Amino acid sequence: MASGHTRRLTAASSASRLLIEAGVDQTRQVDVFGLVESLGLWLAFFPLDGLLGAYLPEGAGGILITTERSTPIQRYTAAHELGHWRLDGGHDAALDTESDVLGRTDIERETLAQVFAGALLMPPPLVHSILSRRNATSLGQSIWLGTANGSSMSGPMTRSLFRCPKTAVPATDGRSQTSVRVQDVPRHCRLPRSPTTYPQTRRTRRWLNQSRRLARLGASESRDAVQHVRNEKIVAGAMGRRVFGIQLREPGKTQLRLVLRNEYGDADPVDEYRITAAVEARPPESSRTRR
Amino acid sequence: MSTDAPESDASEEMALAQRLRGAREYVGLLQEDVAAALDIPRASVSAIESGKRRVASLELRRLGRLYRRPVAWLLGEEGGEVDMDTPLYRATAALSDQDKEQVLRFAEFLAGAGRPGAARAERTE
Repeated sequence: MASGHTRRLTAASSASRLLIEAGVDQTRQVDVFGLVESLGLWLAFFPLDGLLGAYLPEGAGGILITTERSTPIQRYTAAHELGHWRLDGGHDAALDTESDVLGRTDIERETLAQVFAGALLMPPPLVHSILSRRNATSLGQSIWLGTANGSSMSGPMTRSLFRCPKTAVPATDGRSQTSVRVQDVPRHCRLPRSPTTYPQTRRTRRWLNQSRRLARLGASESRDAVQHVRNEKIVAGAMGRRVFGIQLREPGKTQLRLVLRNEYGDADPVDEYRITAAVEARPPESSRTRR
Repeated sequence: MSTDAPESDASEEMALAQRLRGAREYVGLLQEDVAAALDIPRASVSAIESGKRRVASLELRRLGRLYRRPVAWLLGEEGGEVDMDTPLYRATAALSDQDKEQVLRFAEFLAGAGRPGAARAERTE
């Protein structure tokens, strides 16, 4: 019996074969919705409150996608459902919640569909094409690549592209980032990390590229010295940035710790950003006037 | 007894009208789209869907093709609902009411819809 690793490889190669069979130009963003219809399957979008999507084998078979999520999530869900259609022989229905499509799951059928979806939306010719155009060489840039091309699930592809250890980047299975120390990870596989000092500033902003993660802010020291003043909500999975405004109330150095977590489940942090904010006390108005 | 038949006809026509409206809305067509496909005024489509105008048998067949529904389903002679004994029906037990309804409606649609390519071909007829 094939190992789990072999089955995942088979799922990924099945996606590659499907793209070839369907004549999809793999150097361009994959039109997954068009692909569904070209394969003779129905594609429907309706509001769903718990499901992200479903594959139903009735009649010619069809894929149902929620209207309540962003386009990248819809694209990835459609690719996931195509995975069920392809890998299960089109015989079995699949009703997929967020954890089935995007999160950590112990159900191998869902894991294989996740692998299939990643390989379908991020075929190597597309990745290499864009990386070469952008002259991108870092993992951070390649993660941007995933969001820029309508797939927030770039982890598996970036891993294979840069030959990174599994734990170096966020993965669709949510099992990454658990026990590897950053110094053990090759430099090109590290997520962007911004230890930045902001001297003489009272208000600090950091912009974080967002994909499918939530960021939580915490001050590791002197919690009272920091006020979290702004936290804009963004659509999960959408391209965009999240803005945190941090107001430092007291002079001195404060270590800030910004933790990125998968929004699906309670896994260990995907990444951490450490920011050192140094604030100098302003001289009183009267003393400045005297100078 | 003699008055029952017209009442029954009226309720059947109203049920047909409601099924026609529901089927049209499910596939996302406007009354204008249907009017163009059947080559009738939009007001006629509106009258059909409100039970004020009878549907000719030929129109019903064309509407069935357009909406990807069997004529028997439009006439209420065939339920089309997913059987409660099927694995799909059982699988929806854990879903919210909204998700369950959407999944079962989609399964019901798929069962009678044929292939999507055929739908496009018929629309361009």
